[in-house]
Amino acid sequence: MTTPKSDTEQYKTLGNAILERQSAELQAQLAVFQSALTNFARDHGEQIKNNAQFKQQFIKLCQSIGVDPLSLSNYTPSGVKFTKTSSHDRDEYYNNLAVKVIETCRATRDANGGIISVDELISRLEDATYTPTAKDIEKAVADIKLLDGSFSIFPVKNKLFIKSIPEELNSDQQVIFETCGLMGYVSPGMLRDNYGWGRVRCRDVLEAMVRKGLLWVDEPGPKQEVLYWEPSWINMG
Amino acid sequence: MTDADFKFPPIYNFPPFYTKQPNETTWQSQSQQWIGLVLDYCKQKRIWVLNSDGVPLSKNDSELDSDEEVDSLSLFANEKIQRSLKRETIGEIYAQMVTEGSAEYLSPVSTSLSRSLKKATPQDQSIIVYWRKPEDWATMLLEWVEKTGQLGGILTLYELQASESVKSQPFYKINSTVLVRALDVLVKMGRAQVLKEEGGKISGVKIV
Repeated sequence: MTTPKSDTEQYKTLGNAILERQSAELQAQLAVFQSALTNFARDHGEQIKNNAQFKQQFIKLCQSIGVDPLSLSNYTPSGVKFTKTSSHDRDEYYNNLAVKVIETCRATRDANGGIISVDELISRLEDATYTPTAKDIEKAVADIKLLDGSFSIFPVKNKLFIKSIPEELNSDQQVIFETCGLMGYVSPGMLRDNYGWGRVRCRDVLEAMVRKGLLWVDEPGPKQEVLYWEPSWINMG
Repeated sequence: MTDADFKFPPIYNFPPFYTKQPNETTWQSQSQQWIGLVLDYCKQKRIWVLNSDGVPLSKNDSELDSDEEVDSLSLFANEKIQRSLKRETIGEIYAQMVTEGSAEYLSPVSTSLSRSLKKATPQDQSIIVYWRKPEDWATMLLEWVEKTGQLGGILTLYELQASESVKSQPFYKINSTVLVRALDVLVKMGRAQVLKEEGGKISGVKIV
């Protein structure tokens, strides 16, 4: 192992090993710093909020090391602390929440065709310190709607959904969503028995919704009827 | 599968997860979620090989690479909701994993692993699951050999897999094929030479 080439390779391997070790150490330090920052925010929430300059610096610090200021409890709007604070804080909270709503709608679009239930959205946004309420989400979506008209929130029976696609649900599609609210799925047989839909109507409506990614097909087995599931039930299992 | 210590994601109990979705975008999401599940599950259970039905073939049992089924239940079948993925769809998921580099089809390599495997057709393929890449195993092996001052010495595969001295190492009881792949990486880096028996079976390695 004295040829220049293998020396080079050895240096390379050694270099990589050192880099890896350094990166692991940095990761650990960052994690420590992040948790220290979270504690700091909890202990000094009032000061942070009341001093605009301090707050600005604090948020900058949070962003640069990857702590989400929204997840820190002093920005929770339904908490007691929040009600005392200025309208500026409130705006900031909803702006941050709106960004998260958009991100989540995008991230789940392949699985749900662009329609997500508010319940599922909340369960994806909540963490140990913070849970947005349906009211918060509604407000955030209303803000987004001003910028992007394809976003809207709509009720189906007593369940709220958010859509992030331009198309509106037609009345047949709404019936499907409504029926899915009971068991999670519909079948052509259910539609025939309950609404008197003909075979062609059932097929056309269901297949169009599958094509849009709004329903998942479930073939339970030979000689059993195909079921069509609404994807927000993925998280109710 | 019935297993209390692995936390299946919620979609595991969603019946349509077991039907290949006709919508291409939905299927992309579905297959990615299956791949993630396979990798997480195999990593936690230290499963190296899945047969074409998704049944784990060898586990971290004392007999390395035994071909016996350690569990007759397929990862792709869910008794609770009475659904299972078709073999054909499992095959598509495997093919995607192989393309992504997170699995390799089990084929005769020069280890004891291939001993009782029949000639496999594409429809009937088992995979080796790379829940850790061979490159990562290679780094671990190299570090261990360096740390224990065994550079330049000859080690048998068995020593690397099952001796007392590797008991606390993550590669303890590593699958033979995966080990050979990791050694291949070291050979390419110029850090290892493998010693072969007659017939091409690897018997030992010198890591330098």
